[in-house]
Amino acid sequence: MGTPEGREYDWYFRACFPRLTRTVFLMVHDQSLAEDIAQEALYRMLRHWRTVATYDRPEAWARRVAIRIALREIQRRAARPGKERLAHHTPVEHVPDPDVAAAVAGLAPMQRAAVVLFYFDDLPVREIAEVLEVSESTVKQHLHRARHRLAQSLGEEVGEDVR
Amino acid sequence: MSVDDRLRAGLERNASSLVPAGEARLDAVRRRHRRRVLAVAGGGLVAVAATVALAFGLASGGVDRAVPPDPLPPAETSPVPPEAAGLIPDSTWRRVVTTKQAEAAGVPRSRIREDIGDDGRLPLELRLTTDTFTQSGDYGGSVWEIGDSGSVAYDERGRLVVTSARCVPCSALAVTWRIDDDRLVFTRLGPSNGPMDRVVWTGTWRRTS
Repeated sequence: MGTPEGREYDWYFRACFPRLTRTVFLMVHDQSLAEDIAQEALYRMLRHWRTVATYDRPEAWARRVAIRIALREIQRRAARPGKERLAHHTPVEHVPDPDVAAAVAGLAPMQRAAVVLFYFDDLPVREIAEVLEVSESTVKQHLHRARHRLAQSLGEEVGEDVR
Repeated sequence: MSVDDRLRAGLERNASSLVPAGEARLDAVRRRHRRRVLAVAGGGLVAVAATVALAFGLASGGVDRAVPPDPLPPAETSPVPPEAAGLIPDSTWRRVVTTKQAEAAGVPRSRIREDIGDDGRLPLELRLTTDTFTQSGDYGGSVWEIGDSGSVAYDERGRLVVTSARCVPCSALAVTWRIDDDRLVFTRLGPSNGPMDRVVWTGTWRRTS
């Protein structure tokens, strides 16, 4: 896009897309789907660019949209009948740490999102609550339960809870 | 090792193994955006062409050759709109439009994806004053974006007539309405309006203010 506005958007796209795709990938464990979701979120950002460009952190808006699309997609896939779900099952063996990928894939959708946003994106609980549209205490509950379950499946120790 | 350290390291390693195809995806976004812009502009041109053709027919062919005016549906006789003056008061209304409704109305799939999105639902808000309207949608991210706005009038049949200020070539939209308590019900649109207009406008809106 040749306009200054278009060039600014392109810059944001290039800056946001890799990180956004990786965040979504850690939730859905499917590169193609992760790119589709990140692309959809950034396309919506383009449609609302005049508004979103005025925000302090446009990338936070795109992340919120992407995470919500990803959550709906995980929930939609989980609701599919057994055989169809198996057909869409994504193997996690091809990643460098398949144990972590498999353990995270075994979490409930909201726990999965909370874990990825907390441990990979380093978001504080307050921001995770905003992204997931729940209270901070709900986020802490998700993280608490997820850590115990992950510790069990990974055979690691559970440290102190997040504050 | 604590589970926190294991998670941080494992997620970072797994994420780093991914090489997203950023440029190809940016191209796809640009193409999709261009198609949308062209589709909107094309819709406007069709409306202009139809208006010009109608005017030409009237000027050159007289009454016999002229295209008959839109057979607008008759105004409903009952129930009578409860607003004594026959006007919708200054108010804000909301409803959610779904993919299923759009499919049932015959909206093309590509248009549904463009306008409603992948999540299958589009929350809408309609603000009305005695002479203006603003229609907004939540296209994702809980951000209400104005989709259309313009002027409001009422025709001799009491129908609400909205004229877009954002889409100058678009024709005005006349809709039959009634208010039941906290619900605004739009029942009929003129036949010249497309299926997406019907999906967006007709149905029940709930009052929020």
